[in-house]
Amino acid sequence: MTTVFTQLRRKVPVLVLLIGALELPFLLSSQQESLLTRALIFAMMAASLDLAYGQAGLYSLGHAALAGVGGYTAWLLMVRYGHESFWYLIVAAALASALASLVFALVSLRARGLYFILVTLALGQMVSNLAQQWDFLKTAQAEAVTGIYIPSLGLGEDWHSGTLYQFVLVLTALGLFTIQRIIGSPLGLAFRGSRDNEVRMEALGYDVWRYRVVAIVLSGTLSGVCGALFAFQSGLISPTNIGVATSGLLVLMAIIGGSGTRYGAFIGGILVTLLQFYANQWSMERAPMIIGGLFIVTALLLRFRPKVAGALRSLTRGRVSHAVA
Amino acid sequence: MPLLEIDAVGRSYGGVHAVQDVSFNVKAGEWVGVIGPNGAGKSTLFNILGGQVKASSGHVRLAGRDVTRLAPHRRYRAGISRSFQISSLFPDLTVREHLTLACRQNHRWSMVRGWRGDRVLAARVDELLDTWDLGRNDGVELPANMSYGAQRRLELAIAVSAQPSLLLLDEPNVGLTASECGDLRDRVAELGPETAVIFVAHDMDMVMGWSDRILVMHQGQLVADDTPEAIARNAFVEEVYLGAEPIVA
Repeated sequence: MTTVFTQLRRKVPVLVLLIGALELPFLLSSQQESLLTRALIFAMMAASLDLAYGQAGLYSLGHAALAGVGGYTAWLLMVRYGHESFWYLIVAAALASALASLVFALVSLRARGLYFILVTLALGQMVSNLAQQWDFLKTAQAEAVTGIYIPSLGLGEDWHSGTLYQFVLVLTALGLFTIQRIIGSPLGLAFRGSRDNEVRMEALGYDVWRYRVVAIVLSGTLSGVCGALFAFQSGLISPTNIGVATSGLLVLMAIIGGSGTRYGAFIGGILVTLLQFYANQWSMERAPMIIGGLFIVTALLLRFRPKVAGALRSLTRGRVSHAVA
Repeated sequence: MPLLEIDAVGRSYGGVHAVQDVSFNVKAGEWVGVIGPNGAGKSTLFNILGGQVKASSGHVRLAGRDVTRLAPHRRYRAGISRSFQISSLFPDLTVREHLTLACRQNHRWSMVRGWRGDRVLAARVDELLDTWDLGRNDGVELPANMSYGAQRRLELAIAVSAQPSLLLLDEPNVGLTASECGDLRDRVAELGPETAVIFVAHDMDMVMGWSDRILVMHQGQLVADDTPEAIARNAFVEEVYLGAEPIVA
């Protein structure tokens, strides 16, 4: 009984936060709602990256391309083939991204360490170049594909920036919940084991290669859903959205928030998206320098990360163990 | 039929033969000690048995099944478990998480049920924490915060937890006190009379006390395979250990 109460007590702040966030449209302008929606989508993308990066130790620099596969699939089915159901489009985006992730995994996992990162970078750039060069993936010869709108849920909804924000918030909460379930499952434990000591995991009967494939596919699938949401919200998607710069930004989000922690990448995603927006508002010319500076500071502070993460883990683990006992 | 058959196994790196033409059998329930000076090929032989190193030649059979080309995880599922000479732990996982990973025999990819909610698994982990004296702070410690002896016990606990048919222990006594070493023998013996154990050690008292048979390796070759009493009287082995003239088998 104590365990149930302890678990409920831990969930109450999350629920209060979620309900509070759902009420935000009453306080914000439509521009701020759009910004927050964008931040939620990118935060979710960073959290999905962290499933492979922080949990399974697979440092990918091609993650934005997997989101792009989701976004372009949604555009293709909506604009070229006239499908208007949100559910149809989102499932198709997820499936296409899962397939692309599988190809990414099968190719990139043939390499290790730095070479793995370089292969993911090359694969991501290939997808981005494909979107840039292939006329089939263009509207009116423009680089970005346009004509996307927020599809129907079939519930007679009235889309505006506030309702879209609330809808994306609910989807994000579901996505985060899914990630937390994976992290807390035997699969998540096996991801962390594969990240920390491949030889020992193999000696304990775990097929590390398969677990890594699963990590990349799950991560890419979630990212594809985020890519489709990005396209619905923006009304367009372009090759620059899915290139190496965006992939690097996602890695930055995960690291700043605390890669490998429960909510770190998500929080990092929110912070970096907001920072990027306000930096752009302050000065379009200087914004890249601010983000670049953040990259450098983050890289320099990385050496302190194990200590901070270790301390945080010790604190949270102490609490968890008492809950279990 | 022997549990383990090693048939003319070899491993070379370029022109260097780390292990050369080694053959021996191990029966179920047998305890076999492997000794030899540094660089004799003991660790390479262990890695060949565990699958961490592929044999360049020869065959390894477990219960009649050829496992020579099997990956380490498949060998584990076939019944071979091992410990490592230098503790091979997961730096970011707690003691409880280590044991949970080791006890999950079915390796299902469950994404729904949290591992903390599996009562049977939790009971088995609790039992191991207790048996191996690792239950400090309910097993939430990270390896870096544990003494070397505790790390060794954890290393051995996760190797033994699989209840394998063949257990490979690479220098299991390192970091353990004499009494802990005696406890280890008893705990491994609890696996049952069918479990065979092959271990590498430099402590001759331990090797003589634990082994039914002793294999002596030198320069990658198996130079003696006999009972502890016979090995103790073997002048050839004495020479190897005293570092006298190189032995040519």
